[in-house]
Amino acid sequence: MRQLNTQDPNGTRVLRNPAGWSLLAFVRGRVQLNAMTVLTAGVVVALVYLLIVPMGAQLYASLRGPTLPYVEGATTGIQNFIDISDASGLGVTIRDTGIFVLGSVAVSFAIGLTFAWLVERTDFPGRSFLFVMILIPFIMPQIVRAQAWLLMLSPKTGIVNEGIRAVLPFWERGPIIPQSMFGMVLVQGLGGGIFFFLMLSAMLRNMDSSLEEAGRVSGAGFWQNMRRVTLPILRPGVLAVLLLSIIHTLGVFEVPLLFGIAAGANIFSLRIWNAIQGSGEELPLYGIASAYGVVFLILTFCLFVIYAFATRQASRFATVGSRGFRPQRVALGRWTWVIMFFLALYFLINAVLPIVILIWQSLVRFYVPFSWDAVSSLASLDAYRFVLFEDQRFWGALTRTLIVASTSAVLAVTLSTVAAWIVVRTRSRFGGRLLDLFVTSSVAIPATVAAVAFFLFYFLVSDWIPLYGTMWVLVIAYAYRTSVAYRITYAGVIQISNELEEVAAVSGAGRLYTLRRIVVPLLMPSMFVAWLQLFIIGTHEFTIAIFLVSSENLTLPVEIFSRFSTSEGTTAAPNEAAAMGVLLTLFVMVLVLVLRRIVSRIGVHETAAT
Amino acid sequence: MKANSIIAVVTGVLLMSILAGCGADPTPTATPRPPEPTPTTAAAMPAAPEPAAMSLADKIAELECDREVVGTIVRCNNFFTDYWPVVEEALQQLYEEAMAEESGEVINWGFSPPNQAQQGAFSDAYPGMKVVGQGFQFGTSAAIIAAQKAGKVEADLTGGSALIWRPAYKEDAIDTAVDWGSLGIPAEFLDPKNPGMVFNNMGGHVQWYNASALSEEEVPTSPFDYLSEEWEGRVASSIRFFPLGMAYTAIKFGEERTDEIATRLIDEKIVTIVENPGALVVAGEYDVAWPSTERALYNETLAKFTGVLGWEGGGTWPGHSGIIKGAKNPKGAMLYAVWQNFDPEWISTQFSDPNLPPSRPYLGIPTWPDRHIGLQAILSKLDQDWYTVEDSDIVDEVNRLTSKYRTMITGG
Repeated sequence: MRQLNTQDPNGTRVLRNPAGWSLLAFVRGRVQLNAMTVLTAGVVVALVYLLIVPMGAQLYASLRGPTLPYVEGATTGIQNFIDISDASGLGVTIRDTGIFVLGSVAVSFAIGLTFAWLVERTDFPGRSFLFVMILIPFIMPQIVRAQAWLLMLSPKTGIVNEGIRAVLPFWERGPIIPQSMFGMVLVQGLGGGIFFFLMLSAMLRNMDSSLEEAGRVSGAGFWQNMRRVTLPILRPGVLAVLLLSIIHTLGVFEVPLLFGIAAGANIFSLRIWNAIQGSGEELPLYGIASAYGVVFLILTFCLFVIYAFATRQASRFATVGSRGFRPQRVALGRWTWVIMFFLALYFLINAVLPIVILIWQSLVRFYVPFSWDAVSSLASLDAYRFVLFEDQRFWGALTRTLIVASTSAVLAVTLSTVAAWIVVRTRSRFGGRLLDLFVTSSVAIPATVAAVAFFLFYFLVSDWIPLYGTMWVLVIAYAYRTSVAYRITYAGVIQISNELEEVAAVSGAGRLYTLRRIVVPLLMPSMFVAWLQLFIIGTHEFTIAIFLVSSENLTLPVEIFSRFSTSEGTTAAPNEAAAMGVLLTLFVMVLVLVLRRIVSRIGVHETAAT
Repeated sequence: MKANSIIAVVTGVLLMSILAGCGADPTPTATPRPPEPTPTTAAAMPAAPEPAAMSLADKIAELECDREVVGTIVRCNNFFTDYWPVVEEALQQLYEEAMAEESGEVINWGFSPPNQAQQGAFSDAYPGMKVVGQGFQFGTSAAIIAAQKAGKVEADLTGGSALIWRPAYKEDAIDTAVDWGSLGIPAEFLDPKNPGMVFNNMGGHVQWYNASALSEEEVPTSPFDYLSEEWEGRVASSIRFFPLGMAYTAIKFGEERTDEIATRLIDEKIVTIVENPGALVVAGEYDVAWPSTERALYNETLAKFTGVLGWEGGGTWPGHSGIIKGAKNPKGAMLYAVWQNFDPEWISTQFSDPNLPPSRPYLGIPTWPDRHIGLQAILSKLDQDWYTVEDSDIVDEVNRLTSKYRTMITGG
């Protein structure tokens, strides 16, 4: 009989009796099995609660009508779906939404691909600077950025239109009208370039350019090489990124709300918003809004299935160069200056001017075009003084925003980390794949659909789960984006060798103990990156916040929006809205930098300790 | 004691006469500003000789409105002198009762949420009380009904024009038994067609124009004048007020003609629907914000850039306050409603601080600040029959038409 020399969790060596060990191992095995089962069940239940149950409430509401799903006399059936499928309903909505989404994605893709190629494949000078500059617009909340663009594109006094007219003096006003489909596509498209840039540059970086080089050696020109070699290799990955971007843009609400009250009224997210508003005697059409939500959810899930297929294809097309591999960079030659001019123009319009315009708006009570006369007669720091020292709402809204963003990010990251660990370590490939798809599926839920679903669910169950109208409903709702965190933590988990956990198991540590003491500390850097990403998204979140708004849970992006609108009457103060936008942008930026610094130190220590 | 009362009343009447100018012209410009601020808390109240034996109910019973017809409403010229001290006393009692029974929080659902100045001033006047709320614009009634049908009454108070609250009123969501008269509010300030509702302001449609781009004469006087290429791209309106403006146009000029006007104004891109029409006129982006409300631009600085005019086919409406059935804090809600609508100190503060957006005082109270140029623009055209005066009889029709023209923009 052999004896086993092991270590207990405290590091004490213990000599176990083999017979006793067998029994203990059996018991521990059972316990471990149960712990894993409980953990897996817990994750699944949490995900069901977070993702499935609200969608179920939406499905229920879509089958009840005609207005309020919960009142006596509400009928059950498919009438809402019949109602939205008339001539001015679903068809027009799909058409206009398609134009907006595909147009925006096309603009974003063109920008992202151009920048990615310049950074990764050319000798363009200052590539690191380029990398930083393209990320700058990301620090501005989308609702603030949209407001800045609204001012920049004003047909008569907007700086962009004035600039165009200065070069091409064919128009008296415009030529870009912001309240048009073109205006919406332009603004949304310019903002979405960052996502494509990050994704495509990573793909280009990891692609073996020796294939392109082989093409060149074989006499292929630039365009032929691009068409025959580069794009086919990138195709599955690009397809996945395109699909992801399409799903995301479907849920975009800020730009249609600010630019498209009339021109974008048929865009899906605005349709839903208008349906639940109610007016006069017309009660909110929750059934109609839910029916639109269900239809678009089916659509996005179809896209998600293609996305899942495309990502699997992408891994089959993966080409990895050797360690010393350096891509051959295309010499731009005299084109450098031309490209530099257009890039400078792009950064001026997309990164610098929105911030400058926002700051200018914060200095004047109501926006007037910049002039020295206006500076001397109208500009003041009153808005900042008021917001920082007298405003009774700013600090409350900011505190709530930070609490909701940070707490929801913790919730999503915790859930995603555990799910990622279970998926990677489970022996059941089918179960793992299923859980993987489940966690990732949140990507297929557009923000507008999620917002309506959470609103309906928590409104309906508020007698039993009294979260509706509170800050905590936002915490749960924001946390639905598990896929964002999951992608990062999954990548982190597969980098941790299984041997570490096997050693822990042999040393007598249970699975949960191993997860807590070994896996989580090693994953800390990935978890922090995931948390940071969700935290930034949370501080910017407008769509979910405005659908779930109450007087108790106002977040800063919603407060900013309500002060921007002069149609709101007594609460309108665009200068305060702009000042809040500037302060939120600065505050989040500084906070993120400080947190990165602090946590990177802690992360290093933790990793070293384990 | 009785002699004291007589002296007090006579003194009051004399003071009122001096302040108001006996027989003053009832036109806005001639009407005096509100009296000097009066303290609202018990601690700050002066120890004036009081007829101690008289109960509050007796005092209220003795009050009699010095009636004067102004347009479609009745004014009580002695409101601040005779009524307000009694109302203030009643409010003090109500305040104490509200504090004893409830948390002190009043939730107000209306067109706009309460602004911060309002919130601060109310809490200062009644320590421990706090007002919060949400603005649902034209969806206010829908939100109240939806909440009530779900058994989740959240708000205590609602108000605005009849368009805002009337659907909820018809659904029995507003308490019709509220006795505002028990607080000393004159019967003239109560809506006889809608028991439980108290008048609180007057509003209406105007058009704001960029004074540096247009002279007063160049601004159209009716929607028909806008139907020309000359106005293409020069007029801004909001999703909230364009449909309402068209609804009143339809009532005055007929639905068929208005359908055509509304379609052409949008299709020919004469009117652009934006989120902030008033601000865009100030910026010089558009020449006219139409239809707009008299309150859209209220800041003194902005008045330098803009002019305001009435227009033929517009609507004017009284505002109301009402307590929501099942309210958690009905006493607090009544306290806030009366304070917000009639407290002379609060009204005076709004009109003396250029940074505050003034509320629209109810025409029934004898206060008429010159600064309220929007309201004056409406009144100057009221006699010429340019405006349709909204009351609860036409609300259903206005609501139907508003929904119709809203759908024209949003596509249903």
